[in-house]
Amino acid sequence: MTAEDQAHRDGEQPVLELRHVSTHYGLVSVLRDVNVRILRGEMVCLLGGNASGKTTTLKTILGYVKPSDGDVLLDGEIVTGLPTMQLVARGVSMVPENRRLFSNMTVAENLELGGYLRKDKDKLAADREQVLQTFPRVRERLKQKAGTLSGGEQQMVAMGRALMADPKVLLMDEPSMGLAPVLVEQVFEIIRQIRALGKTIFVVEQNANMALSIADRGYVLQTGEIVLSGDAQELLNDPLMRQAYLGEL
Amino acid sequence: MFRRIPRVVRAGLVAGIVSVYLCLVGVVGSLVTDVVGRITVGRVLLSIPAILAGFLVARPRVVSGEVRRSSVRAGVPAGAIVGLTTGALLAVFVGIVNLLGVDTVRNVFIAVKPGLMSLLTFGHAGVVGSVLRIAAEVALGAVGGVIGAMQDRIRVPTVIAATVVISLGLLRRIVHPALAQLGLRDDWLFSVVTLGLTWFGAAAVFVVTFVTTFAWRANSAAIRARTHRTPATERGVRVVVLAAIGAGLIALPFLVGSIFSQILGTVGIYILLGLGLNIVVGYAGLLDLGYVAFFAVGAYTTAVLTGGSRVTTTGYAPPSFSLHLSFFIAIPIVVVVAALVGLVIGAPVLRLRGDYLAIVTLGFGEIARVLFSSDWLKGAFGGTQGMTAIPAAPIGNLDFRNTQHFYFLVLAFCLIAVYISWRLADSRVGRAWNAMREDEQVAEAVGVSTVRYKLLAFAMGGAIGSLGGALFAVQVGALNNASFMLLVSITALAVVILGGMGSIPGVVVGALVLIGIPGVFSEFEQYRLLLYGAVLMAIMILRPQGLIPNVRRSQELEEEDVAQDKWAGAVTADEHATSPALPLGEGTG
Repeated sequence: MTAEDQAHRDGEQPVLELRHVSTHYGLVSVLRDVNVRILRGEMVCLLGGNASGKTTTLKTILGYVKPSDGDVLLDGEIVTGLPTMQLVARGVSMVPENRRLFSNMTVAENLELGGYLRKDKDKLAADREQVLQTFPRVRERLKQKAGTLSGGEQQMVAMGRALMADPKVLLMDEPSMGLAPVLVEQVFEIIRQIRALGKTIFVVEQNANMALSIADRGYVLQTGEIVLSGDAQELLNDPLMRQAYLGEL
Repeated sequence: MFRRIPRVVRAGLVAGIVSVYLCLVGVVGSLVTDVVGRITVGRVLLSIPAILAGFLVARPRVVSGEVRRSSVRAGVPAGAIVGLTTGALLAVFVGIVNLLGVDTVRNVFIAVKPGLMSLLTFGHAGVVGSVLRIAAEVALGAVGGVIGAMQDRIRVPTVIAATVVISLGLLRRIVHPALAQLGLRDDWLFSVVTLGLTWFGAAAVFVVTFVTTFAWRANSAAIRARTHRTPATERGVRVVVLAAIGAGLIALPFLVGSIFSQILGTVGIYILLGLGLNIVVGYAGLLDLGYVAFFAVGAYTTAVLTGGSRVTTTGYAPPSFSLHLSFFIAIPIVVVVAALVGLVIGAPVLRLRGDYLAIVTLGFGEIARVLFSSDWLKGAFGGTQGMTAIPAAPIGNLDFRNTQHFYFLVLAFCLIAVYISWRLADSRVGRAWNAMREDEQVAEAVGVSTVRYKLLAFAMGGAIGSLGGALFAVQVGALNNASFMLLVSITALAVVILGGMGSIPGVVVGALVLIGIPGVFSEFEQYRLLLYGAVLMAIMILRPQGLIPNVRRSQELEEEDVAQDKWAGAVTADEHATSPALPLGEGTG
């Protein structure tokens, strides 16, 4: 994406936006004045070390926790603090950390639950077909219990489950978390495939290199504050970025 | 320490401790019904530990990867040593009791009576008695050893035949009227004097059962292989089996007589409780220890709606609110009330899980009981005196006070509840419950409203449980708070756990085992709780997924870690990577 494109999109309404969001757990401040804009078709990553507030950001978006200040907007509409279910119904979908499949249900049942709230049966079938085309491995395993799949396959099912909701924006919580290096590459390959479908993706990651290499833009979170943001390529080359990311400021 | 004692002696010690325990709790001395000849239940039970221990040590086992069988010749001495140890412990027990004096011991263990001591020592005082007991235990252990060392094809029929003989010996009250109904004589089978089996009858039953089982086991595979099974015959077989079950269910109360019909009625009530609780615990994964609340709501609501009376010091009085509806018109109202109570109980505990949920629901169950028997609500529910004169619910000639007729009422309700449970399990709602049980947070993240489905589980579970309460009100005709103790919740939960969580056939079997068996073998009535404890412990150790497990639930129990291990293994082995997967857990981003 060129700078011109970026300028052109400045006036555009973001699919998902965090406006001055602060979140507290009890009296402890976890997020302070976080601003994030995610445009249609973009892949944006949120980077940060341990306890920087990455997962809390996702929880705030999904309504698991209510922000103490600021707003979450979906397609320009304020959705702050709505119950999770309603956010899902409005098109926010998440791939949880560690995949967290319903491991004793079949892969087919997992996918089915992904589209649990959908009423448009025809489109649902089409989306299911698209997921299965994107991940042929998943099709082979449809009748198998999800818990018996390999890690990479499970990740595909988790992504597939989230895609079944036909989300406006797909949230991913640390997709590389706890995976061996070879698998991390596999996972990012999967994300690249999903991107190719034209989905809007917001991914939270510790693995900055990997995430930035496939993202359009990135935000860097440190102890609850956005300390850096910008074009993915710029961030990759930013000397400050690595310092911030490593918490060595 | 204990591990270093030879296996055989160890088994004998355990058997000896169990034997002494059985003596102390009174099982041996006070169960005096004759099973075969003059052998009482107590004697049979006393002989079981040694036989079982002998059996277990002589049984084929796997030693360092290889199956090791003992020959019959090796089984006898092994069993004898077991018996010797058991006998020695019992002799020590007898010695201690004699030393202290029966009366002193009896101050603590009331079951220790002269009768028990004479039973243990075969009526001989002093050393002779102890030696006789040891000799008897050696013989019993050796018998166990022989059975254990026998080949499968002989051992299994032997065990089955022995079990059948002992059960039959305790079942005269059910078998005798059934045979009489069919016009068959049974004086060759049951002694008219002892009411147990005659020796001839016992031998005959043993032989017949043994031969039948032996022949069946030897030939069933061949027979199955010979019969061609096409989908059509499969369907035919299924229809025949269903018809047979149906006919059996209808004929059952007339065959077994009115006393046992009543037991069946109670079993049915617990099937309803189990099915309801199964929705809450088995389907939705919410551990509810206060389920008795719904039982009480069902019973009291039925009493009030159908026109039961309060018991007062001066006689009967109508409650402050009373209708005289027919039972069948009242039932839908009862169900709705129970569902509403489910919502009321469910709402405050929505955020609780696991242990905390269990404790809070435990409290709710107790609150329900206290409320119904409180002075505050005395005008409505009769306080501690309770309610009585709850009308039966006759349809035409069927009077449901008659236990045989009541059975059909219960059967109908059970069938409805089974149907509802079965349909729910496979529905969209069932899938949502499944997802919620497996991972509440992720279920929410795919759009399952956990609030709605938790409340629905409490309401549905409560509604089905209340049917049990309503039937209970009709069955006994009178209610007071003694019927709604914590024990009802525990029993219902035990029914669900024993059968296997989330499994409908499991609930039926669980209720038959936990309610039916103690009811039928009424000798054990006073040891019901002992039996529950023993059965539940055995289940937890031998078959934690339950007797007839729900496929999915059993995997959840077994494979929770396996999946992770496998995954870690896959990372290191298949993917040629070096670092294993981190354990799953909540991340702090």
